[in-house]
Amino acid sequence: MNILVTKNLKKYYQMGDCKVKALDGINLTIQKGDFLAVVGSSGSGKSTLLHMMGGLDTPSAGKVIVDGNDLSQLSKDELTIFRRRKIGFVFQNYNLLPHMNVYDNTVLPIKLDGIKPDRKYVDEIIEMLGLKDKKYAMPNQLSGGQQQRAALARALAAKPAIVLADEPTGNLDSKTSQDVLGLIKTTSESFSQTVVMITHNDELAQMAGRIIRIEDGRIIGGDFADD
Amino acid sequence: MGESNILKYVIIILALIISTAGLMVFMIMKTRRQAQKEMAAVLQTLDDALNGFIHEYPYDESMNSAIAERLNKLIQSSGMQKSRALAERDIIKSLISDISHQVRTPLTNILLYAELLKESNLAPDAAELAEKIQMQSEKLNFYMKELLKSSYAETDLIVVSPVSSPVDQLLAGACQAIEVETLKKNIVIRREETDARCIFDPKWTLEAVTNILENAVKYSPEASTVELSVVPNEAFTCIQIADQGIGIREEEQGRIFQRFYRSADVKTEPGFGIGLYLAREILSRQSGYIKVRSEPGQGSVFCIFLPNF
Repeated sequence: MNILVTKNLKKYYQMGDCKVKALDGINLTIQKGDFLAVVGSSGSGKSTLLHMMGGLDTPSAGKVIVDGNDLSQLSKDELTIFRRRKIGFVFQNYNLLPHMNVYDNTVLPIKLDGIKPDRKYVDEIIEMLGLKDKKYAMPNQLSGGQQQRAALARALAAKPAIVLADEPTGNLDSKTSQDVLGLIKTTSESFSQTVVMITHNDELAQMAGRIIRIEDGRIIGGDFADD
Repeated sequence: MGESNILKYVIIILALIISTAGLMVFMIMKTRRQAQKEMAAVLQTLDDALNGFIHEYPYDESMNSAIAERLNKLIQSSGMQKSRALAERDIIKSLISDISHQVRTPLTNILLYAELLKESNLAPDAAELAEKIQMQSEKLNFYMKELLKSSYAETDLIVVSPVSSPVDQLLAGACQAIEVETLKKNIVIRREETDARCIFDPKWTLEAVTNILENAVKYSPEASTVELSVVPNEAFTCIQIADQGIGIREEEQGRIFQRFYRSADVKTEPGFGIGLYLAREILSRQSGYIKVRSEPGQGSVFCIFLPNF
């Protein structure tokens, strides 16, 4: 089942006399349950692509369709609610709310939607990510790796259509990166969760089941792990 | 006099109109509030249904009751389909187990008698026939094992129960399982003692690790070394199996985990291409995973990651 489709996606910026083509016609189809890595150097357009996928930015041309919804047809308010329900984010710098503990951070998007969180499911995620003992700890009591795991728990708990991870291991040392990536991989499989991760590191990208290479706003190559 | 009467009537009528209007507004708001409450109850019922709860609903005429009843039916029917599928799986499972047990005993006997026949005093042409019987029986035994393995690879038959288990025992078991092969090729397995523990199903993970170790020995040259090491991390413990074999080309490094995939480079060795597929299936069912680092001619390192929690 197609969970995300982009059709000739373009994002152009006008900088004075210069037209910067951040995305220059991206056609991408992602199936439910895929773990996709988007690899590109700095300025290749990968962050822009992620922002488009998450409805954080609007395209200059083309469409983004997430779980059957054309994002360009949604109003600003509808888009906010859509993001909260359908998209999970994992950022490079964790972005946990500092005054809430791990559990509260994890269920915040669910609660904002007025839904009663499924405690059993949330506990399962927290345990799978090794945060059982840290369930009520505050972010400043956690290591970098633990904070990122909490951010991952938050992204997974709401069962979004897609989890978007922006350089999730950028602030972590190589050993912790390996751990966090491994957890992204195994939890995405266990929960059939679609994950799109952007990274500049080819080796980290190898953890994903599918790799797309992007350069100058265009897809220049890609492969499947099982090809 | 007429005027004050008219005024009185006007005031009374106005008061009636206002109070009627007020009453109507009050009724409308009350109905709206009730409707909202019902919608919230329906939403809660839907959320519970999504999480698989069968709801106790009141037997009344409310919308919530009607919806809850339909949802319960829906949950029950999908539950029934699931248990039917599980029942079918159990039948197949016991069928395969029965067949393999039935075949194993006569096969073991054939192998034994073939061995004994070979060792007894025979005329040369009888000895040649005995040798042929033994070779064919060993082939049959090999195929039976592979058949069993590939039947497990039909994913639903793999049911894991991960518990905290010692890694050392796992590796010791795997080494023991392939001891005969290592002796035949004079291969040394180097393994450090470790007291690392992580979460895995001992029986199935032994199968997975043995498959990988088997490959390492199969594709290693004679008198080479296979090295087992354990690298614990915070979330995963990594078991590394490094061989000095022919290595794996980069474009094939993803494909070797596919069912029935065999590289052209290993055509000379027997096998169906099940071992790595099975190993990966077993690992992913335990929230673990496997990676390979290899270069042609430089051997391969298989990394098995098992969760620590």
